[in-house]
Amino acid sequence: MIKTPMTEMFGIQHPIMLAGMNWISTPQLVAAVCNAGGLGTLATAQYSPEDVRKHIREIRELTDRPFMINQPLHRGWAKENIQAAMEEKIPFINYSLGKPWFIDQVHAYGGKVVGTIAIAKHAVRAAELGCDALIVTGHEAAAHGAEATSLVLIPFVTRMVKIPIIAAGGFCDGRGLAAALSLGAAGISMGTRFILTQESRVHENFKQICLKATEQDTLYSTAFDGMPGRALKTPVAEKLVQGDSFSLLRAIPNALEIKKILKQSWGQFFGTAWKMMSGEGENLVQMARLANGTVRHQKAIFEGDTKEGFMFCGQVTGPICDLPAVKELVERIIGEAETTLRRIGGLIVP
Amino acid sequence: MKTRLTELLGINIPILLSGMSWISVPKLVAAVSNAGGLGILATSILRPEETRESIREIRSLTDKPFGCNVPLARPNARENAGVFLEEQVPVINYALGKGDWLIREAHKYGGKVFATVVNSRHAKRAQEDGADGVIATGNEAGAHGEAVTTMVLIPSLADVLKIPIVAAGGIADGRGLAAALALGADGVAMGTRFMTTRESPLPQSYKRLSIEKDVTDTLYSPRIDGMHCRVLKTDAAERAIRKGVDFLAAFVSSREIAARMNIPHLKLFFRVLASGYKNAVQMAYMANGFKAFRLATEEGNVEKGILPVGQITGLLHDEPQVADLMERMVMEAEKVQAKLSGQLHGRSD
Repeated sequence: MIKTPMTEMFGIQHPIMLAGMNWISTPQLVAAVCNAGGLGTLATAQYSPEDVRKHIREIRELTDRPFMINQPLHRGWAKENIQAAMEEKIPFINYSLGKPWFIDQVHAYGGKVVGTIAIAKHAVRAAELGCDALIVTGHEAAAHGAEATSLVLIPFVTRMVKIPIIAAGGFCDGRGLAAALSLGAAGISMGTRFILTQESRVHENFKQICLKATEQDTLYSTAFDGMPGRALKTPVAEKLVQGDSFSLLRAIPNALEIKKILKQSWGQFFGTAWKMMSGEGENLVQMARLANGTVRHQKAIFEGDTKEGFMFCGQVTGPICDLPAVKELVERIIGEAETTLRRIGGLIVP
Repeated sequence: MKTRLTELLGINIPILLSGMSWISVPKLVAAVSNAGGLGILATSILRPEETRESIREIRSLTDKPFGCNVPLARPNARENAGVFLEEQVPVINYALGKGDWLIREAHKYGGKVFATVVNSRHAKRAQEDGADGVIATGNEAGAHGEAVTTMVLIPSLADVLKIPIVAAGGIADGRGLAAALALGADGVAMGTRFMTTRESPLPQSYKRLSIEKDVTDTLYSPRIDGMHCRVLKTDAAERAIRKGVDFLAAFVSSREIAARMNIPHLKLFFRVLASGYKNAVQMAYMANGFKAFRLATEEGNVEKGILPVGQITGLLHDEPQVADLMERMVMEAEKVQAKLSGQLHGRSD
């Protein structure tokens, strides 16, 4: 057993959380992680408010443990989804990309707010705004890490803020958990490792590619969805990085597809597009990449389409080589971490 | 502290000084060895006779084990490596090339050989070649890391290697040391941290910058010296990356290299031209990078110089003496150990 400020704050057994991954962190996976003693996180970015409520109900049928939702604040149904989560009194709300307006309201019902950051100075701002904990994403992570790596970013941020830090990016086993705790983190968040479990719905094709991949088989580029992000190195991903000449043309049907996924009205659809172009200063290419990337990512997860789809994936796919059940995985990681902590104890103080 | 590395090398603390051109000079090497770690002399910019003098100088300053570093792809590498063998240097560290012959020769007198690697493919080859250990450089390191970060690289190597692993890149304190051991390393190598110590010859202008900068204040680009290289984010570094390859400047810079290496300048120049365009571009970058690095490390020229540093520069806040730094790191690691042992026994603080 390992007790840290993370296990205390979230009332969980083990200092391990499931990262909120679009379409992947489903009610089944969330509940599996909760039931294994960790913290499951439902990703709501690609859901309408009705879908959010539906999925919350599903999780509650599968587990009575606390769980978290993850919502990027900059687009889609952010306001409505956060509202739905608060009405459902979700104990933990994790946000990224934007300024949280709901911290006091969440605190009022006894909930906690967790910010996700990849740049150190954002950590200070999030702490000042009243966040209860932070998820700190290193360069090695799947999707949107920044330049600073976990090994450097975690001790840097723990020195700047007093709230508990959950380290994300580069973690898949007990050695990594022990390293994160050594650096001052209160626990770890894992995405890629939970993608490669029995309960994950990611298509077998991509699970198998991940299992065979080495630590060198990821690419980091803005080509995937317009933001710097890390994806599995497949022929499609390599082609995207080299430049997709039809990206603007493809973006139109893909944007419409996203409208359908999010169940947006035409008004909301054009509103989002206008907001992205005017308010956030994103250009047409970035918007096209977001639309195309979203659809391609979905194709990989659901259809296992290796001709069109790509998969966000961390460097840690290298050392991962099996598909355990979530419970077995969490127990193994804790066992390894305990062994590791005793081992390094013996090295440091022989 | 006691790890496979301290046992193998006969040192007290599992901390190595990375071999950094113009920085890892005899005084700093000896300081690290005397403090219980292992200093490593950089020789890529030294002529064979300078290498020999430097080794003798180290021996006059310490009777503890030390090492010498040689990037095998650089001019003069074979000659310098020959000097290591003649002088029976206790630890040889090679990078950028195949070192099987060097390992064989060093093992004849009981020398230990460490290969610097950036991925598991290289590491496995080094183990097959008979290396006694590897120094594994992560993406966050100063100068030449590859894409894989230390957090992922070390466990990836620990899964496939039997020989000891030294983690390099992203480590400057006891927390980093403890984390590296947790990941499966047997010790750490530090460059950026030792660069800003009292015994380091780095000019004060750059020591100050290194302390002021944040973890995001580095740049990683192939347009500095022709390989992917991490440097301090300064106007000069940004300018160099924007500009790209500059053959005219390279012609001038390469004169300096030719003079250092005792090779006639025009001979060097035509040899590079004859090696094909792609190689010539890389050599041009290397020549300009060489000059910019020298301006930074030797002259402290902030306007024109470029300094290779790791992201960990963001965690530096002082300029300690080498011995104090290493003692502090061991104490910090012990503190981490005490805290983690508490967490393991159900105390959450």
